[in-house]
Amino acid sequence: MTYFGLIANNLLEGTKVTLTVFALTWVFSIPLGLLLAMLKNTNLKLIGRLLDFYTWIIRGTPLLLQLFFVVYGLPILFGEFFLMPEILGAVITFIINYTAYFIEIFRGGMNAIAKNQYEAASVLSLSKSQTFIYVVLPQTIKKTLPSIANETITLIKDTALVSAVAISDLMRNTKDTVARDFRVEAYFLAAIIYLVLTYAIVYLFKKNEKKKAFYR
Amino acid sequence: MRKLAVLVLMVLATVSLVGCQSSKTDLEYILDKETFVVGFTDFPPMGYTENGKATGFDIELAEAVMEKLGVKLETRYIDWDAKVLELKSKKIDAVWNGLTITEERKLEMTFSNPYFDNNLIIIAKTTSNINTIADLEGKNIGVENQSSADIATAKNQVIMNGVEAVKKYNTSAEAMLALNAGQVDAVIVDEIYARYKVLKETEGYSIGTEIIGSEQYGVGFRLGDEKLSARIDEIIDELYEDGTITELSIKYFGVDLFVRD
Repeated sequence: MTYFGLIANNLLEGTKVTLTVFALTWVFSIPLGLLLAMLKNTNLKLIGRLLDFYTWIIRGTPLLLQLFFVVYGLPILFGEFFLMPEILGAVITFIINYTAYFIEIFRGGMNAIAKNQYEAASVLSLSKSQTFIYVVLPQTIKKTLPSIANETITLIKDTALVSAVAISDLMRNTKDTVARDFRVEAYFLAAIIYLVLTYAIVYLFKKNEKKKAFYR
Repeated sequence: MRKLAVLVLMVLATVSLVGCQSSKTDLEYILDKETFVVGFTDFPPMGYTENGKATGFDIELAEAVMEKLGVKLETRYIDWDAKVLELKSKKIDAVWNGLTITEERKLEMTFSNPYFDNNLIIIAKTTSNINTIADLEGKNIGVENQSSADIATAKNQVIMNGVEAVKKYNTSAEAMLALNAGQVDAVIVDEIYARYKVLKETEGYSIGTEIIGSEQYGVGFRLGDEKLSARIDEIIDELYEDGTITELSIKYFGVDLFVRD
């Protein structure tokens, strides 16, 4: 138990970094995903094509590769302008990556809304923005909530990838602790921390799903 | 009840198996299984992967030694941070990859006699004019995580107080990539790696004039594998006397860097 106390500090320091990457990614990529999903559903062909290309690249390559590309590839290829602190590079990469997934999730949710609802909205003489805010958005959020919860859990675990670009997150500090002390207890403590974080997410989403249950 | 009986049997079987193993010496264990697994990571020119195959000075040396010992050499790419765990779990039989002999590591591994001299040096872009420890003031430096460069840097108060940050990478090659990208201003690394990998194959880097520390390489065996360690030292001595090793050193480094007491 005392050994756990000794290493806990180091691991919790890493957890702060893990949570920073997680929170920034989540807060930016969900609104961005929603916005771009709306754009993709409009009749603008060019924007649709561009977004298709974007999702194709991002979903078709490993996040780790994208991370290395942003942190090391960009400054080597295009000079100092692209040189940024690793943590910023990591957050930007994660936002770009997760936005691509959220676009597809939201788009699917929006497309699942029946046509006659749009017709009803126009009969009620709701404007386009009113239709979106009062008819489309609430149902989209309700429908996509389980998928978003899934992505959010994946995101927590994906943050471990940042340890590969010299960022001291929970994963990196755990590995360091094991290598330094030649003891494996840190693995267990890290697993517990990740489990607590993912459980908190599951709990929050469950609560929210219940709140939104009145649509059914 | 039957489940319990099966469980008891399994436990007994395991205990007796473990018992059998412990009655064999470490050398007999290797000779019996007829393979010797060397753990290595990406650390040219000592050990690295080329075209999917492990090669390098240490790997070729290990091959020559195992041929004499009469067992097959297997190589296993390991996570350098997990080298002691790899040894303990018997996934590998030795870490043989430019492994620096340190007092801390002696508590966790049994070492062969030292076979190589190596210094820790500063490498930076030539244009940055970083040559001495004093030049590192306010700079970002990179090291391979848990390497001897990492350990020596952490102990050096002058460096630690002066630098902006010490960033840690999975391999020396990744630290050099970060240097190229500008994420760090200098990298502290083994001279052998710097001289025979970086300076040979790329331009624009130079080695500083001040040495951070000096160290010796040895083969790391499981703690307590004294018989195995002694036998392999014997074979290395023989190979050095008949000139095999000198030839190998010249092939990789241009000079004979091998040391024998």
